[in-house]
Amino acid sequence: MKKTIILGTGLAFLCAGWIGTAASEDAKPLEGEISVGGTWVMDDLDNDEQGAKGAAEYGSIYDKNRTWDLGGSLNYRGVNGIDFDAAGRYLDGDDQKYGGSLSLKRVLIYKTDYNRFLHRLDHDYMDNLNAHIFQGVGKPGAPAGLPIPCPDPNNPAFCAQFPDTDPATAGYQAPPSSTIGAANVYHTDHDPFEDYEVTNSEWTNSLKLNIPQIPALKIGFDHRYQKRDGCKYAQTMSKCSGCHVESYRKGLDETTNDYIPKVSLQIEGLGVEYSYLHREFDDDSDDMINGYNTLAGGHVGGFSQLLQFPEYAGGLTAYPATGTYTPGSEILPFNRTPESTKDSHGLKLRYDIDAHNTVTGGFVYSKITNDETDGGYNPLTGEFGDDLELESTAVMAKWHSRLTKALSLTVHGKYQTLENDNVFVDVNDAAADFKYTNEPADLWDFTRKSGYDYDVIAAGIDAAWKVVRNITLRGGYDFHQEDRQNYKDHHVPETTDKHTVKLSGDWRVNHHMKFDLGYKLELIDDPYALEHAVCPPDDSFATYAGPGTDGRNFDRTYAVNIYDVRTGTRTNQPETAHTFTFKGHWTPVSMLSTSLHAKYRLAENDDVDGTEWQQDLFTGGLNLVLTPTEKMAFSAGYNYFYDKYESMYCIAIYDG
Amino acid sequence: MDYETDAHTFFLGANLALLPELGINANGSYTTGSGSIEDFHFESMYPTGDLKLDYNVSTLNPNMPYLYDVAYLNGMDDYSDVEFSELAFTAGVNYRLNKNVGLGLNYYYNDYDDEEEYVYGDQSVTLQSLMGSVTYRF
Repeated sequence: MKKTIILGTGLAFLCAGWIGTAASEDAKPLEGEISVGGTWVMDDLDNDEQGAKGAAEYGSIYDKNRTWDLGGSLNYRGVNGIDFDAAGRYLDGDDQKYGGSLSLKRVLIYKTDYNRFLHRLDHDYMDNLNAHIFQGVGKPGAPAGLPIPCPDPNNPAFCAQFPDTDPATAGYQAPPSSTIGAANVYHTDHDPFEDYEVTNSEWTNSLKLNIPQIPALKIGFDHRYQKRDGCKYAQTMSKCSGCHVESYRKGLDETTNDYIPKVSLQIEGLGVEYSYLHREFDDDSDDMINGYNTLAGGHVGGFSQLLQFPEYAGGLTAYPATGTYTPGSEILPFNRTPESTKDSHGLKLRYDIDAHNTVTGGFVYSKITNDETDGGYNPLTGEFGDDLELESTAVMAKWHSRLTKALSLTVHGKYQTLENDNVFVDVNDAAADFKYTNEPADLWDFTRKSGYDYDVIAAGIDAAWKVVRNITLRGGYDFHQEDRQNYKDHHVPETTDKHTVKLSGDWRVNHHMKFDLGYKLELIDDPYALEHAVCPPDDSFATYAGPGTDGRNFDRTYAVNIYDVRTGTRTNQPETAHTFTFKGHWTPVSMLSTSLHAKYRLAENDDVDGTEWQQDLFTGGLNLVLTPTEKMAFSAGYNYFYDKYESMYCIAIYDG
Repeated sequence: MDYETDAHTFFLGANLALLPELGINANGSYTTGSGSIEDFHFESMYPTGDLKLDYNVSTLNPNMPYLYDVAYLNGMDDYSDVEFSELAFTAGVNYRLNKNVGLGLNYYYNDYDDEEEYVYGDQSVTLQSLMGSVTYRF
């Protein structure tokens, strides 16, 4: 705990001198304030509290003793039609916010906002899961593959951080963060002493041009800049992750820029707006890597090295004569967030047919391009010799009609189609590496068909009926269909149909009391689910017996014996969902206002293999506001959240 | 397997303009939450004949004689538990010296108590800070 104090008040009085000149003017076209102060952090974050929650999660000042607290605003109203507003606050380099606007006779209007804040992130040490059956690897009796070497054997300085003080294994170095056992068989934290945090920055700009000679025409330009800079804890994900988890420090440096020019035209009842979006996502973050060690390698010699596609000491032609690979070459990059660009064209139409009928329509075409796939063909690093593109085309329309003073009707529809490029993957065949020499060289080549090839059809109708002066009833029906092109490749349903029925009403009992009640029924036919996802035949795991000992018998691998024979379909999507909502407002006396709200959702799916899937969700709350006088206000409240899932837990273990 | 979470949040607040030049405010909230996996149980099953997964490590831990057994996951009932509480309190006073100059003083208290360590370990923390400022309006 540190106790020092500083209040930076001196600067305030210095600033007051020159500002006072403006304040003495009668017309006061210029108004504003300057606030100067400081923050004294009495209880701050200690070194071992970097992942702490609460206010620490987003408060950058809490690892400092004191900071400035500088703020201010400025508002200028010029007699010549020039208006200017600005406001800002600075607490710390990672906690600052500014905004401003400028209007030139309402012809040109410019607005800008900037916000920067820190987010402290977690570090999963894997120490809290009881995930290991023993610690202190390398002890006598450890299984084959142990002791486990330092994860970066070519870096003596790194390994020296993990001295083993146990006399029984003197001289052996193993990270204390490496554990072996139950929940995960093996965990390696390559950056056990790292603290993780990310600075988020966002800057938005908006420019509008109203041409006095053409009042129906409006031209605009929006820009958004977003940056995430820092580092985060990251676990590698692969087919080995079920047993062997590796974690690294991942440096983040992501930048997004949106450029949105737009133009709109309003001619009597017809309004048209066209906008174009160009987005650039630049990612200079670290690539994640997989670097399996000997324990996570295959269980027979023939698999262990091919798992990593390493470089061999004597070159590929030497294998298996030497059987040794270049240390460090077993590390592979993976899961790169690709740099990308997005171009989108949007067209909106609105036509007021008369005072009671309005038709709106829209069209959006967008294309997202992966900018990192057009290099020389190398599927291991994500290069496919071609741009990969995702195209989306959508059209939508809505008609709203106020049929009578008491009855209104809305009909809407939408069609969208998504097309994503397929990718041909030329696998580095085992036959070329002197394995499976009796198999064709292209045995494992395949075309990866995208899951983003599908069509969406949506339509619906909503009605509102004011039954009497203080009671309104609403009802509606929505239909939503997804039709997937490559469902066979992804083992998912071809079509998912969703029907939604909505009923609600509000009743204003009197000036002091009002109630809202609602009910929604969702019926989903073939919700998104993975077929053949779980449930291999009974005892197939126990009788599996591991890969063949010669390293060339694919029929003995886990894929054939367990993955390919699974029979069960599972999902976390419901077939049926009921949602009830209630809101109540009561003002018994003018000084007291109360409100009560509640929501309950019951979702079920019994059309899955294994046990039924079910969700119960309830939220509710009560709020009170008491204002005895204009100068006193008291508030109190209570909120409750409850969520319960019932599902089947399945274990996936991939055995080399 | 059931996964159940719940959370309660209580909050109170007051804003008082005691004098034309003096205002005070106080706000507090208390949140408590929990989560846990229940009804989770696997019968013992491990692959036989595998070179590593059924390796006999009983000398290291008699309760877990094989390197891998699905029953080892049964401890998840306990180590999946989440339980935390958070108390946040803010109090402030604003005093206007004259029509142009005002003083402000705010106190912030936040206590996050990780009563049941979860994946990321003990994330408890207590923070206190005091903010003071002089504001000049024109």
